[in-house]
Amino acid sequence: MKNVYILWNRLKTHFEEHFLLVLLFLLGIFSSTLFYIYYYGDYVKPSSFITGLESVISQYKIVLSEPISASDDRIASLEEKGSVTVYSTELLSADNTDVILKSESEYEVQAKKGNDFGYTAIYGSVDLNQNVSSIIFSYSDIMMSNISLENLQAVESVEVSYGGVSLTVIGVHSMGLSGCVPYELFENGALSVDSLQVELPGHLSQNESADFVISLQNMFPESEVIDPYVYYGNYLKAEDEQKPMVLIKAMGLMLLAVFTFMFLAKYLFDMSLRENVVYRLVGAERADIVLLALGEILILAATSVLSAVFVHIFFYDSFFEKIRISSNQPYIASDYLIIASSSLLVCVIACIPFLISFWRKTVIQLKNDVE
Amino acid sequence: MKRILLWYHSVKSSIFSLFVLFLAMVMVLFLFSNAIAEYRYEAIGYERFSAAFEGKGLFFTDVSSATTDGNYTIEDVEQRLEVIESLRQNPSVAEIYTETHVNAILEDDEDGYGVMVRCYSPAMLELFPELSRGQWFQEPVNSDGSINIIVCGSDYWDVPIGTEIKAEVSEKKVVFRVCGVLYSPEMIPMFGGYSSNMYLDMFYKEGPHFVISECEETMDLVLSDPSTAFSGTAYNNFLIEFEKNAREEDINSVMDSLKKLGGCQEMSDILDYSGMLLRKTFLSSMMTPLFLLGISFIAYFSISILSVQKRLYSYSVYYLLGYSKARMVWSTVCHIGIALIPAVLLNVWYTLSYRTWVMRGIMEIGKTDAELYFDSFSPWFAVGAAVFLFLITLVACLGVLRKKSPTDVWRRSKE
Repeated sequence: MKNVYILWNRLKTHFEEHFLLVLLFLLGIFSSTLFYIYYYGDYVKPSSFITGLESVISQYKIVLSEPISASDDRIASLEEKGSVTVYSTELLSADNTDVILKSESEYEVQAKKGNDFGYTAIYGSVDLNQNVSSIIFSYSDIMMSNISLENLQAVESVEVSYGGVSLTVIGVHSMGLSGCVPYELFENGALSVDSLQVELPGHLSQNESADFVISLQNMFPESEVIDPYVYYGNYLKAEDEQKPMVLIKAMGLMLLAVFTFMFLAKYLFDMSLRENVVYRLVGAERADIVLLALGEILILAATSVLSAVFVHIFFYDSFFEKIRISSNQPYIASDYLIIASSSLLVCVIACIPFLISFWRKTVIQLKNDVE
Repeated sequence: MKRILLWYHSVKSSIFSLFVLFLAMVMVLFLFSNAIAEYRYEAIGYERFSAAFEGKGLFFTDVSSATTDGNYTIEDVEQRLEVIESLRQNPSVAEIYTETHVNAILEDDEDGYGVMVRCYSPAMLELFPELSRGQWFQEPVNSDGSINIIVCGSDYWDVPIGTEIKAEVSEKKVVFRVCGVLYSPEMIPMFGGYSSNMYLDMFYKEGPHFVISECEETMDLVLSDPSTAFSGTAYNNFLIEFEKNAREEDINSVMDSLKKLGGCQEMSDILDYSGMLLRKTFLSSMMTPLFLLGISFIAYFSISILSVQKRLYSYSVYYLLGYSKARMVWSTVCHIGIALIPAVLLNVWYTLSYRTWVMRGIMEIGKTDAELYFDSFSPWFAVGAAVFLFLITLVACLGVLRKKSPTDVWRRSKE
């Protein structure tokens, strides 16, 4: 109780007599913590895989045990959760295989409501809304020499047969492995759905993802549901293994920043040196004085660290989110807890050198210092 | 002399803390100037294209070369030239940006790999970064038949302007005369890259290259080898800039005609996507140095205040002996400045000599991670930061001395 009283009086004196220096110390730790929060949020916490490829980690593919119709109620219920792409694999053939196809083979096509895939055309058009009996091939078809672009360019109109449906080739798109057809071909029953993919508007956490996979498996029994966290597990695991080192690096940067302001704490501590000598002369142990100094720094540092955390939480939506690279992976309560506790730890580490220098000095040396 | 001696004693007494401050400032300024240089390198393409494209633009890509064996004939090239020529005649089209290339074997080239000679349409020269030395073509070809070239790449950083380079192109002897050198930044525009989401970085390539300007003679030279002239980039891909007042239907009609040959992407989409990537570059490269710079400003301000506080008693004695307040402020600024000035000078030296060090192989920073772009403007960032820090120190000194007069300090110390 006595120590608490002394501590309280010391802090009060510092505020009254060295207000500007205390304020600068608080401001220094505050800005260092804000930097640490930013660094933690963009370099320690996030997965760069998820930051860069969020759409990929939000995709759940369901390989159906047997084909279903596009008008199936389950597809309608999935559309409420995200964007659904349906797939069909049928035999692709052409009357004159020399013109367009190297060989007759099974081919996968995809379709989605609205027919907007966001693809760019590398030849012709990708607008499937103009003709309900159209098909666009993918760039990989050309790269794998399944389809000849030169021949496509040479002829005015190319007709192919896909699963018995006659389609006009209108272009070649730049992405993916599958060709694209209008969704109306699935809606009118010309094609059935072999597999489907639902892309959620944002990614789920690993636990939420596992729950979602279970719900999909219940919805489509005996079908195979691919969990992106399992499918890309190796990438994510490799990133997780790097995280402790990145956290240590972040703490190192924080230590460097905090250390810059520790001379202010040392100055405040020196201001109390006369008092400390008196305490020692009347019988206080070295440890008591060191604990008092540590207590002063911890209280001041905790005030700054917590203020920085609250300011970050309060202004996250309006400012801090906008300067983040990985804004798709927001901070959660445990992140702030890790940040606050590791910041305080760093502050304690930063003041160790001058606490040691005090510890080493005898009462006589301290008395000489004061004089 | 007396003042210098006083200043020397003051510096000597806190040499360790000043040295730590010097190291901290060197590190912060180094990180800051490197971050700016990295961002500026990434922004060059965006700045050039944004300035060049006032109206709408289209990027045409023909990926058929990816699947062919590259055995193009002169007929293939002529067909594409006809397409480009017909587009040039279209009143809604303002400019066509094209490039083609041919390989040249240099006379003194021991390994015989040669160098790529890239021929650009005049409009395309606007997309180049500023030359490191020399000037752009007065004429594509000189009266003596030599072809003016800009040499690009770190290999040519010390080539004198006016140097004649003898070479062989498709078994034809030619003489190139260097009129300009481009090595910082080491990048030139080209249309070889392709992606479904094009961004402006894909329009630039690093050296070594020779750049020549399009005219009848240079075109004859380049088209003497149709297989290289057409492969990869040349005329397969090109940029169209429309007139500012071009009608939407005219643009669509051009796009529809080109879609029969390949794919088209609108420049506005490419610029938007590049702008988004540039913003990400800014956040990833600049935020940490900016934070550290901010923290160092606060630290510097604190050190200045503390420095005055600590010297206040000595100053009060000097004051009673005739030292003015202005000299007190000046002494403190000089005391702190001793750590800052060498740090800034070191940074100025680094930014001005970075490219020379890289060229001489002394330094390889930026060669592996990210390219850095330093020019004569770069040192001003560090100088600006230093001036700001000096002002901070000045404000801190004036603030403390305004609150505590030297006579008060002297009286208090006597109580």
